[in-house]
Amino acid sequence: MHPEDELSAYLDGELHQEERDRIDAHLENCPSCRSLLEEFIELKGTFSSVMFSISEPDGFENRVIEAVAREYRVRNLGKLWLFVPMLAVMLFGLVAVACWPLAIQLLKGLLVIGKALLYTTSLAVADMPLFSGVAGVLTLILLIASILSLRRLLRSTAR
Amino acid sequence: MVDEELSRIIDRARRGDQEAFSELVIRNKGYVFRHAYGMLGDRGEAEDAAQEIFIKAFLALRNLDDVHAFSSWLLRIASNLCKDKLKQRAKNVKTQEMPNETIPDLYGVDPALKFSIEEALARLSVDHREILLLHDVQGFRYEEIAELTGIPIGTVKSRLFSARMSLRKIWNKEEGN
Ligand SMILES: [Zn+2]
Repeated sequence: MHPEDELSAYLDGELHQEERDRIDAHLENCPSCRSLLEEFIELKGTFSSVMFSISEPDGFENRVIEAVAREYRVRNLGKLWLFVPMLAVMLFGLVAVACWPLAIQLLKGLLVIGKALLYTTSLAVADMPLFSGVAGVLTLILLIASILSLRRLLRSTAR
Repeated sequence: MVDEELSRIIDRARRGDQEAFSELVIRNKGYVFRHAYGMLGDRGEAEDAAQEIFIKAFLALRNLDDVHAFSSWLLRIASNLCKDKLKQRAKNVKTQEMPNETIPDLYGVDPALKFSIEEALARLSVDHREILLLHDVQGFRYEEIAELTGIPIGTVKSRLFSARMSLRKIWNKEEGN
């Protein structure tokens, strides 16, 4: 019985002590297993040295770092969208606070204009002759207009 | 392999420090590229894959539980991504209905040993390729490979043995040519 399937683990140093001893004893008397072990050693050496001679292309690390940075920016931009509404609310509040004196000024101005308007109307109302004159003219115009429209209505139904 | 400095760098990278992650790329680019190249057998594809592996690692770094397991964690990402690419490639080949069986182009390549072992690697099964790369090139122990690939340690042992037997068979045949 050749312990061939154990030779690979033997070579890798993955066997327990008693298993190792058993393989050692067998190898001493078995040229076939010895030659397989030799082949395994050579194969492993060649394979790893060939693979280690392979190196990444020039500029590879920069391309990777750039790609990661791009991904990072995209992620952060994604997070930023959450902050936009919050930012808008904050900005609005800030503007409101900053412009509060201005708003008060504006309100005061409106109050002054309103007062002036109220004053002139009250004056106009008090000035009765002018007021009644205007009212009289308006009533006359309204009366004539209604008579004219009534006549047109009567004529159209007569036909 | 894991020193204090490295775990500090990983810690910083986990908190989103790009400079620290760049340092990790510089330290691990060779391992990752070599693994991708060994699995895929094509430099261009290996570079694309390695780039994807690092991006994936960067995004998933928060999920890394044990800083000391960084290299096996990174290689697990690498292996899985390469296997996905190979599956995709197999699917594409099937749908394209290749007129001739993928005949390796022998021209323009140095007919040295290097070529023949890479060729041999390309003819191994994906599982055999993966285990040989993880053990003989990346230097993981059986126990680490078992954890990394999610297979029992006994399977690691027997798979590595049969991978070596197949590699030997392919290689000897090629040398005989
Ligand atoms: Zn024997």
